[in-house]
Amino acid sequence: MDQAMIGPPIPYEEEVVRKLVIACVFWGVVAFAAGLFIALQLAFPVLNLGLEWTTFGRLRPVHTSAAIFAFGGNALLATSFHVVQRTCRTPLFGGRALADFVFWGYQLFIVLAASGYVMGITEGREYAEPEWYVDLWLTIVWVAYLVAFLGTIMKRREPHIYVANWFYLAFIVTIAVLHIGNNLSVPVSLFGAKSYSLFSGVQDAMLQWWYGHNAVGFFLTAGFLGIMYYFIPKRAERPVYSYRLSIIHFWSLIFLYIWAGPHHLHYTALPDWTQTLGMTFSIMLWMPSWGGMINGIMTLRGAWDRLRTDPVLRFMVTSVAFYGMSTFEGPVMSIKAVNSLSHYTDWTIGHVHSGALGWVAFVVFGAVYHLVPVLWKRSGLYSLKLVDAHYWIATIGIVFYITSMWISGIMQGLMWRAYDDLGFLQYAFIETVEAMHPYYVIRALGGLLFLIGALLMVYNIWRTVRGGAMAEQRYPMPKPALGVAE
Amino acid sequence: MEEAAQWIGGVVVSLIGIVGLFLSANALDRGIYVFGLALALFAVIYVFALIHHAFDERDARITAATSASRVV
Repeated sequence: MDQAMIGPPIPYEEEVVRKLVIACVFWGVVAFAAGLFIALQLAFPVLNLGLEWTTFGRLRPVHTSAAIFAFGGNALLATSFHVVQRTCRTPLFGGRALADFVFWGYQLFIVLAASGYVMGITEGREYAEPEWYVDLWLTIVWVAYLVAFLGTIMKRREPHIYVANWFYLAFIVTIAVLHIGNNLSVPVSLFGAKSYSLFSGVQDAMLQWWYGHNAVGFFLTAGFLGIMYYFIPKRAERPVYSYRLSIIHFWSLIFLYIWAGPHHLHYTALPDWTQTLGMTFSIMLWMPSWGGMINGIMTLRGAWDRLRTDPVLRFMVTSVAFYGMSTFEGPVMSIKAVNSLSHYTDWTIGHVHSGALGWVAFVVFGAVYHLVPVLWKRSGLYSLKLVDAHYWIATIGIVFYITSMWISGIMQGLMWRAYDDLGFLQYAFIETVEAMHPYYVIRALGGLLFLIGALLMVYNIWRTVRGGAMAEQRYPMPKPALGVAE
Repeated sequence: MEEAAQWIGGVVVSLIGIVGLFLSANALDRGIYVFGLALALFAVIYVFALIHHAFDERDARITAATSASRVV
């Protein structure tokens, strides 16, 4: 009935989505393994191996870039290309040529960035470490991405632009602005890797954290909300809870997020009014963030029982719960009084990872598990039991990670500010480092569990793609609802 | 449209590849040297892939036309 109503089959550009999904899973394992290794290095510094290429300082950005841009970026590219085509009922603008350029160009960016870090080529700007020439290459690839995405929307056959596409487009456009703004630099030579930032001092710091927080806000939040808005209703076979709420929280989110950057610079040389402005907007940001959380979770209205039987949906909904937790914790940590304790401590790391593992990675896992059978024309995943196992192992890993970092972070903050009766600092810095050791081991254990879960996913996806006998299906693949694009 | 995208893509990427070769030839350090070679290699592979896909599509069209003409 659907095809008769819709018309002839639409030749969606699926090959690039398949490649992007595989790339996402591959880089995810790389990112988690790199994270585990550097976590172990913090607990056991001998793992620096005495080699310049394997020092923590060089490997840490390998982990952060792999997690955010390689794993997260490929997930966003894959899902955005899939969603925009399906919701616009039109194949990707620019066809295979443009899609392949975006795919291979982005993978080249990842390889150039990571290989550069290991060789010591870095701008030293958090989440913007690649040097000027890699930044230029990314800009070219990103413009191609925008052309493909926006072009598809402009030639859409479906009049209404589905909400997921607003979030994707906001992500693409804002990341372009942030990337260009923060990476304005002057190369020493056009034939040399080294460059210097156009800005300096606290102005440079402000620019960096305008970028840094909005990399979180638009790359890791807006983009992944796009994923949430398509895949949760799709998997649950329920409409989004509130269209009006999606409009309100979209516009308020993208307006407020831009201002939050100064909360990374509390009690620095940044002017007081700027710090207060950032704090205030960060606190206000709690509202649109929870608007998104409510919309995501309440979409399950009338289908709550599926959380018991469908671990893929469980990944997605748990991710939204973690999103809610992180977007409450963030504004709390943005308050100057709280930040005076938490800044520079492991609490920040715990917060980052509750968002990165709990929200970002879980929603990606859910989307990938949903997409793989669709893209490879299988009736379902190889094993839902493995998805279940992945879910519980990863969740326990996250709990180990964040609780150990909460404890170590608050302990650091309290120890650093502890004075004795005579007014001297009670603890030497090295004593605080020694006190962290057991929590660093627990954190590494959490990361190991997360990596094990990801390896289960790799096996499950490989068996699904390869085809063959299906294991027990506790929950069949959702059939398309009437009138809903495939 | 798709053909135009292939031609535009091919020309642009070829130019990028040539720029890469110039960068490598004049590189002052390993980073730019590797970057330039990577661009050149990317361009070669991408253009070959474009040619490969174009011929595949042409063959598919010929096969489809031949099959259709055989239908009574």
